[in-house]
Order: sequence, then structure tokens, then C-alpha cells
Amino acid sequence: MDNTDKEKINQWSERVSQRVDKILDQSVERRGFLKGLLGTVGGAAAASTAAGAIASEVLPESDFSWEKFFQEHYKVMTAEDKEKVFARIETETKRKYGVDVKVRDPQALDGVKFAYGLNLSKCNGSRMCVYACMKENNQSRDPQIQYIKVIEMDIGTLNLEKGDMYYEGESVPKAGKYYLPVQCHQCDNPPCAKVCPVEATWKEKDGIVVIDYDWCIGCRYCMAACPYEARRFNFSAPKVPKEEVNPDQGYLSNRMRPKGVVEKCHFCLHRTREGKNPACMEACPTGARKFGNILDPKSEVSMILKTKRVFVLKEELNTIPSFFYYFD
Amino acid sequence: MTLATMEKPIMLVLLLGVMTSLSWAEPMAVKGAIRPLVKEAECLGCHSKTSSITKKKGHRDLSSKHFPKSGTCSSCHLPGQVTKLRLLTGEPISYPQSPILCGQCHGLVKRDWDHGIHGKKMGSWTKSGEPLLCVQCHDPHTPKFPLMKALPAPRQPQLGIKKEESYGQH
Ligand code: HEC
Ligand code: HEC
Ligand code: HEC
Ligand code: HEC
Repeated sequence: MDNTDKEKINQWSERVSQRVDKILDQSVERRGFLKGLLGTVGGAAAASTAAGAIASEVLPESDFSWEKFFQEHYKVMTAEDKEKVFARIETETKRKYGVDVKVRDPQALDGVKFAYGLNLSKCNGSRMCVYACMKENNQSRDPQIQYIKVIEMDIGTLNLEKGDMYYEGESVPKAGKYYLPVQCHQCDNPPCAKVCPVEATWKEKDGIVVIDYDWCIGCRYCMAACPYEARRFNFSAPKVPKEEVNPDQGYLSNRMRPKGVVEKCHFCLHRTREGKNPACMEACPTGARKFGNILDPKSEVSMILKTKRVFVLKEELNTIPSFFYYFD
Repeated sequence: MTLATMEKPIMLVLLLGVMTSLSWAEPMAVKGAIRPLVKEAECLGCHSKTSSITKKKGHRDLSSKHFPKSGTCSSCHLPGQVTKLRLLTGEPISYPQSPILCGQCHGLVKRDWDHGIHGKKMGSWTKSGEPLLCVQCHDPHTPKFPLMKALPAPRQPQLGIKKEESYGQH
């Protein structure tokens, strides 16, 4: 491919970014935006295959693909559409990371609403959860992305701003300190999902707030809206060493993210919707992490809600988190 | 936000990444994770099934630091039978039943454990989760939960509490 093609692509992406700005201002649906764009470019299907060939040859390492760009919103895709998308992602992952992965899309279970409890008297600040999460969920190692931040706090205080998330420790817990891990609270009234201009993030019926990384335009409104600072942005393409890629991947959870999208904790939905523990809980050495079905009165989380004094962070904001804390 | 204005933070992060990767060490193996359970066969090398100790060299220092005033080894171990524990009533129990032993003196904790509230269940959040035994987290002879080494702090300022700020306030 010669330079004029490259230039075309550049011009094209410039145009797209201008359109995106406009769209954001007008807060129009992204699908409408796509239709508009089709009109501008003209000759939909034929052009898109030809251009697809250009894109993959000119930009072998880019995250761009025409199929992805013209993809329907995930919620309206048919099963076959989805299979095609999964296959595309598997191929892309093979190309970029050299790993054979399987992308699935486990559905929310009937009669299940997830909740997460964290026992602050037990958490010892070892950060085992942080690294288990990073591995399970293929988070970028460099620049580093972690969904869980553990805040070291003085006993007797609950001012998150005064805490230290950069503590180091040869032997934790340290005297006079306690440790408060924060990750996505999967709010029942999620401010992040409300502000998304393209509906790339939404709440599922089991309570998990998910992100479609193919749909996210990277505007980061959701990050500004989240009072728990639970969302992370991929400023560059995530870097994960080949041998550390977890090949068991969920479309809405731990599959490889492209550059320029937002990600966050999703309660390991590719594990938990199949009955497994979330990775953070499995790794916790102290038993401070409790996860389960709040609709089952005999589940551990239900028992804890009944028998312990629990609280949520920033209750006054009415976000209604599915993630609560307690001391015993 | 345009795609163009995103370029600067990208450069910054890349630079940070290069600088900090020098100090990056792989997570260390952590002390204090799940303890191995007793394998009876390991005991029978030195103890015979019916008591008598057949070799002189004993254990790591096992003077029980657990309720030292009244406790001796045979408060918990069935004298003369190395493969069995005993309850305070004298009734013998097997090693995998040890939570009953602990529950005699730690009733409330044991009740929480029965409900999955103290300790943890491995594998699954459904009923099929496998509870860890008390002794997989607490050494029965020095039961205090061990201190651990914390895995490394995040390498980059993430959104949220900034490094400078949090250090400044201490
Ligand atoms: C290396 C040989 C050796 C092995 C292996 C061994 N023991 Fe012992 N054990 C001894 C000796 C020697 C003594 C007595 C002196 C002492 O306390 O060190 C003893 C004492 C004991 C006592 C105290 C008995 C009493 O009445 O005072 C208990 C309980 C015991 N062992 C349990 C075990 C168990 C359980 C195992 C298996 C996990 C085991 N031992 C494996 C050598 C061994
Ligand atoms: C509080 C009750 C209790 C007391 C007191 C106690 N033990 Fe144990 N001990 C246990 C239990 C329970 C296990 C089984 C752990 C398991 O299932 O893995 C055990 C395991 C052992 C083992 C094998 C595993 C290991 O930790 O090395 C040895 C050896 C042992 N005891 C020796 C002793 C000796 C010697 C004494 C006296 C100095 C003693 N124990 C006192 C409860 C006790
Ligand atoms: C005969 C009664 C008795 C039995 C049986 C017993 N404990 Fe204890 N345990 C005590 C007493 C008493 C203390 C308080 C000791 C102290 O404060 O020094 C204690 C303390 C503890 C502590 C707290 C230690 C600390 O320093 O924070 C733990 C954990 C513990 N026991 C676990 C266990 C486990 C696990 C078992 C079963 C293997 C068990 N106990 C069996 C009486 C018992
Ligand atoms: C998943 C690991 C784990 C398991 C399994 C576990 N514990 Fe604990 N236990 C802890 C931790 C962590 C603490 C808090 C330690 C601290 O505060 O220093 C604790 C504290 C305790 C304490 C002292 C403080 C309190 O909460 O009263 C006792 C007693 C105790 N455990 C007994 C037991 C008994 C008995 C069992 C089994 C029925 C058991 N534990 C199972 C991790 C565990």
C-alpha cells in the first residue's frame, strides 16, 4: 500500500473524530451517527469490504476494523452476529498477542442478583486480590491498569481522601491501620451508565454493569461520573505478555481491550455466571471477600446483611451500590 | 475530546511506563497463603499406628503457643494414636474433622464459619463451594493469622487519590 492510501485513512479518521465531537455535543445515538457516515462515504457494503482490505494491510497493528465499525449495538445483535464478532476478536487477538483464545458471552442467570461484601476487620492489605484480578482480566501490564485499589487508612477514620493507596509493606496489616479495597460497586442506580452518550455501558439483570469495548468511544464521561473512581482508560493499547494472556474470555468482561476504551471490574462475569468465585475472592487469603446471590436468603451475602452492621460508600449519592462493607 | 487531543496523555503515560518499568518486580510468593493439611503417612515414618515414637528426632519447635497455660499436646491429639485428634470429651475425631475441635472453644467463630461468614469457600459462590478448614489459615499451634508481605503498590498514578496528595497529608 502506498502513501496516498495512508493519507486517505488519516483524513478519514480526522473526519470521524470531528463527527464524534459533534455527536457528543448533540448527544445523538451512535447508530444514527453511523448511518450519517454511511451517507457521506457512500456505497455501503462494497466500499466497506474494499476498505477493510486497505485497513488491514495499511494498519496491520491498528485496532481499527471496518466490521467492528459497522457492528450493531451489542444488545440488538443476533446470536449469529455475535458468533461472527467473537470469531473476529479471536483472530485479532491471535494476530496481536499470538495467543489462541476463546471468546464467550455467558448470560445472566435467572433468579440471581449479585452482591459483594467486604469484611474490613479481616482484610490485611496484602493486595493478593489486585494481582489476581489483573491476571484473570488481562489488564494492561504497561501502562499498568488495576481495577482494585486498596486504600490504607488510619483505624477510626473513614475519609477516603486521607488514605494512601501507594503503601508498601513487608508485614501487613500494619499496626494502627486498616485496609479498604475499592472496585466497581455495580450500582443499581449507576451514574456512569446514565451519562454514556452511546449506550456503551449498561446494567444487566444480575446487577453487573458491563461495557461493550467495541461500542465505547472513549469520551470518558463515565469516568467523571463515577464517584468511586472505579473506571480505567486505555491510553495506549494494553500490553500483556503472551504467556500471561488468560484465554478464557468474555465478550463483556476480560477479552483484550483496544486502545482508547474504558474498562472496569465486572465481577468476573465470565466466571461468576458459571458459578465460580470472582478471581479477587478466590485469591483473598483472609476470607474478607464475600460474594453471592442476594436473592437467595441462605447465601453468605444475605446472612451477612442480616447479622452484621454493613455500610456502603457515599450512600448520600443514592447510587445504591451492590458492594458493601462491614466490620465484625 | 477529540482523538487528536488524546495524543498528549498517551505520550505522558508511555514515558511514565518506561520510567517505572525499571523498578518493577514480579509479585513475590506470599507467606501466609493456604496451609497444607496433615498427611497421615508422613507421621507414620516416626510414630507407629499404636503410639510409640520410633525415632528420636522430633518436630519443628511445637511447644504449643495456643492456650499455653492448660494445653498440652494431648488436649488436641489423641494420645497413642498419631492419626487422630480428640475432643475435650475424649472422643476421637479424624484430622478433616478438626473444625469441631476448634469450635469447642471458639463457638461463635465456628458458627460464622458454618455459614461461610468466617473463613472462605474455594471455587464457587454456590453451595458447591469448598470451605477451607480452620487449620488451613491458622496454624493450630500458633493460631494467630500470620502477617504477610504486601504485593507492590500500583506503579502509576491512577485516577483517584494522587500520590503527592496522599503523601503530603501524612
Ligand atoms: C521425624 C520423625 C517424626 C515425624 C515425621 C513425626 N513425628 Fe511426631 N514426634 C516425633 C518425636 C521424636 C516426638 C517426641 C519428642 C518431640 O516432641 O519432639 C513426637 C511427638 C509428637 C506428638 C506429641 C506426643 C505426645 O504425646 O507428647 C504429637 C501429637 C505428634 N508427634 C504428632 C505427629 C504428627 C501428627 C505427625 C505427622 C504430621 C508427626 N508427629 C510426625 C517424631 C516425629
Ligand atoms: C489446639 C489443639 C492442638 C494442640 C494443643 C496441639 N495440636 Fe498439633 N495439631 C492440631 C491440629 C488440629 C492438627 C491438624 C492440622 C491439619 O489438619 O492440618 C495438628 C497437627 C499437628 C502436627 C502435624 C502438622 C504440623 O503442624 O506439623 C504435629 C506434628 C503436631 N500437631 C504436633 C503437636 C505437638 C507436638 C503438640 C504439643 C506441643 C501439639 N501438636 C499441640 C491441634 C493441636
Ligand atoms: C481448649 C480450648 C481451645 C481449642 C480447642 C482451640 N482454641 Fe483457639 N484459643 C483458645 C484460647 C483460650 C485462645 C486465646 C489465647 C490467647 O489469647 O493467648 C485462643 C486463641 C485462638 C486464636 C487467636 C490467636 C491470636 O493470637 O489472635 C485463633 C486464631 C484460634 N485460637 C484458633 C483456633 C483453631 C483454628 C483451633 C482448632 C485447631 C482452636 N483455636 C482450638 C482456646 C482454644
Ligand atoms: C480463610 C482463612 C480463615 C479460615 C478458614 C478461618 N479463619 Fe479464623 N481468622 C482469619 C483471619 C484473617 C482472622 C483475623 C486475624 C487477625 O485479626 O489478626 C481470623 C481470626 C480468628 C480468630 C480470632 C479473632 C476473632 O475473630 O474472634 C479466631 C478465634 C479464629 N479466627 C478461629 C477460627 C476457627 C475456629 C476457624 C474454623 C472454624 C477459622 N478461624 C477459620 C482467617 C481464617
